Amino acid sequence: MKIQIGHTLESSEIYGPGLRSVLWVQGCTLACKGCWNTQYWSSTGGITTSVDEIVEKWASTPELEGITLLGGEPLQQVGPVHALIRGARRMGLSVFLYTGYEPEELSTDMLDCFNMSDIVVTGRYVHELRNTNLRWRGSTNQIVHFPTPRYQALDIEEQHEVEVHLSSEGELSVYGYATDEFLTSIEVKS
Amino acid sequence: MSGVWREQSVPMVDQECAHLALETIGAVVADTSQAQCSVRIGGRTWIMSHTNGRYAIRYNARQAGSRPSWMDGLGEAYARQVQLKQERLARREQLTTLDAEREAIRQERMVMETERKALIETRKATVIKQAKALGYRVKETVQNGEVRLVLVKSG
Repeated sequence: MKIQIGHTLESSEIYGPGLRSVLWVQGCTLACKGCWNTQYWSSTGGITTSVDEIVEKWASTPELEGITLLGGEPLQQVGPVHALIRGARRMGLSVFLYTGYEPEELSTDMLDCFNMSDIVVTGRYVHELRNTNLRWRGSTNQIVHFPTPRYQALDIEEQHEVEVHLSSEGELSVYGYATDEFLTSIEVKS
Repeated sequence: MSGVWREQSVPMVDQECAHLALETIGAVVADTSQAQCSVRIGGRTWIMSHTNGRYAIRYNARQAGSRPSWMDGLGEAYARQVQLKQERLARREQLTTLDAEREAIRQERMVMETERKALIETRKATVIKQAKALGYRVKETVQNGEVRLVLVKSG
């Protein structure tokens, strides 16, 4: 089974509990005003890859606690995303799913993905409600759900998080809720 | 939803490889000094200067469409030239029978490696300094040669 993906991050600490492999699913028609990731809107952008290849990569990544799926809109590729979630769960990895849909908008297949995930953040990004001090969310209307018992006892401490990756060739990548001031100061943005 | 910002090319630290990469994408490099050179491509002349341990060509990112399209291929061309240079040096080191020449090649490879490491250290120090100035706590992890810096600020 194939999936269109925009970007992957082998390991990260800011997209859920513990060390997580993160995958930005390509394509989103929700088009939230002020969206941070418009480069992942087009359904023809990114690269096409196989679900099995992604799952195999997770198996070979040491110390992973789980995976995080965001985008784009993961549930607009519900078949492959369902397969990814099943693959992660088979390996004992936890699943964190981001969706711009509200729970009542979900189809049966989408709801299956929701119910199999350990943490789900739902709701459109609403620019007028933007708050970068929320943990794992970009605007105050977005809700964190715990469909399984795995993290139900987890205390979410609200905080502002940014992650900077510096490759072995000296290339910088920045993830999270970075401000323009910070991006400019480290020369990632002019 | 959180953002993703990635640099559009590998930082260029080796001058020879930077010049060769520019030539492979059709540029003419002239007026070379250690600090800068001029780059003629696409009917315009640009200045490539050495700042913060790397060679960079500046353009006005605030002006829409000001990023020249030839820049898209430069990072890949540079990475290829670095790989070719390393292969060239390794071959020369293998073939030479003279100890002095072998030592000179080893030194050249060491300079490349030192420059790469210095760039990483400089950039890491800049990120940590700026992050702390903005009130972040910083946690550093190194995994498979990649540095990960987690910056956290309480709300």
